[in-house]
Amino acid sequence: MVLLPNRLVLIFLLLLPATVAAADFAVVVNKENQVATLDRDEVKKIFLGRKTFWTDGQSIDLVLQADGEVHRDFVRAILHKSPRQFEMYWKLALFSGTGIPPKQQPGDQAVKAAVAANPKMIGYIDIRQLDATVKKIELK
Amino acid sequence: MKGSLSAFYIMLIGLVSLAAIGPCQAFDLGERLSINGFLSQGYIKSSGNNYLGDSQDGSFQLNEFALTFNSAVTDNFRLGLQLLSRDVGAEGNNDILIDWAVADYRWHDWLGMRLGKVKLPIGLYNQGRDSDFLRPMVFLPQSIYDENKRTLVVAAVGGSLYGNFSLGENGDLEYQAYYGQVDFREDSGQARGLEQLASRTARMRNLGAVADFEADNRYVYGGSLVYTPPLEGLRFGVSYFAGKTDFDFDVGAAQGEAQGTMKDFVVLSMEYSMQKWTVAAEYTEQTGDREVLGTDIPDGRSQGGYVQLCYHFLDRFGASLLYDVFYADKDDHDGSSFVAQGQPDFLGWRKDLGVGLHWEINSQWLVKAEYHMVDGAALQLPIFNPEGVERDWNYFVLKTSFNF
Repeated sequence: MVLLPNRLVLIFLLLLPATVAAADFAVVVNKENQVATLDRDEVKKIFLGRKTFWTDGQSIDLVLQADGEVHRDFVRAILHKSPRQFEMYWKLALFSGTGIPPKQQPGDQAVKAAVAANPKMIGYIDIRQLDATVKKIELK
Repeated sequence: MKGSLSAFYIMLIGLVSLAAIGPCQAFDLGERLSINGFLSQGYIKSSGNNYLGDSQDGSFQLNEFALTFNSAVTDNFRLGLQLLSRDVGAEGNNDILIDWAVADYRWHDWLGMRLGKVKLPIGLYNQGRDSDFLRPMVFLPQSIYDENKRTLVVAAVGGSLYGNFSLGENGDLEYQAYYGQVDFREDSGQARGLEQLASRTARMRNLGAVADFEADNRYVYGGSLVYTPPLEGLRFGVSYFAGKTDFDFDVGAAQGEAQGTMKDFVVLSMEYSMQKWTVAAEYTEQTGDREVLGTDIPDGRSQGGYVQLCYHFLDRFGASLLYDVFYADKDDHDGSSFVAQGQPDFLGWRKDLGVGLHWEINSQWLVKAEYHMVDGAALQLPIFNPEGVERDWNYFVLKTSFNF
């Protein structure tokens, strides 16, 4: 009888979404981009394809990491989805004719190279890989 | 028939070849063109009644194959096309059809336009209804996503406007609005249901046999709003649809006509998605209005809805539970109007309790298995059971899908 409430609490805790670990990523844009800060909600809307234009009217190009810890942390912390849910979100757009999923790059170096080469692009990298080739966006 | 099967095999060989070469990813042909696709194959076995085809004997007539082409012509302008071949019991026959084909231009976040053949936003899931791997169970809940009405509601040649309004701290509001015409196939459940009704009416009046049945959709229009509030994972939707189709046929030595109109098809939707749990619930009402050989058929206003729970034990392994209810007439839940016509009362409802498992072997392969217990025979079940329907029946489905 005494154990039952404890078991219920344990079951309840197991059913809760996994706690998000501290995310060690940086959202990065091209150095020519005038934007310096973004709300976390704006970043979320950008990566879900709901905000598709920069404030100067230029379209936003997205780049994703193919997989890995940085991708997982970014998707969970900013988009509040599992990597699988995020993948399904863009597959729905792809196969229903309502959008094209963002390009993927295999890792931090490839994302930095893509962002450095495209003034309209936004991506995310391991914060330890941040260097002068790209500009870090401050998240509010 | 022979031609369509040949085309089907060519497409199947093409898909398998694409899937077999290189890494299993989308095929990016340079910066501007990408090719994706999917294949799925299922098996359905039912007892008590046939469902969608000869399912009591067990049937593999449950598949979809698609090739998807997308080209970002400019930053704001996109061209896209999806070819789809499907076979769902008596419908589809693996003919290769254009599922959607759009020229899509976006001026602002709040305004874009698609011209061509566009998928229709009905409920939260209609636009993705042909992609098996996008949902936890094989069939979407039939009270809203009735397979027999798919032809009328899946896509239309015309255009749509869409966009997203940011409401700041209060969330987002997405809208879509469309107008067009549907390529109404004669092998669709709705056409066959109306043909059966025309045959019965002609027989009662001694007019002769019905033949050369042809369907011609006049219009469909509607729209949807999806509100995403600040609470993560929650969204609400409302959608509206209306459409009208004319039918011509020979009856004996004369010409016959029929019309079918779907009016005020409204769906209210709610989805709450956490990283392990997803809860979805939708409610619908719609009015059917049919006229056959000058006789008005009293269809009334139907009512339906469902609740579906999905829990992921692991990231790619989950279980689903569905309770789905449909009433042919919201003011006649006990089916008394069917009894008055000399038919069983249980043609007036369909209550489906389903449980299922799905396992995503990887991001491209998926396997599902599910079992449904059904009370009632509404939603056109008699067209698959001309010898008569039973009230209590069940079906089992096993299906696998691959996408790239």
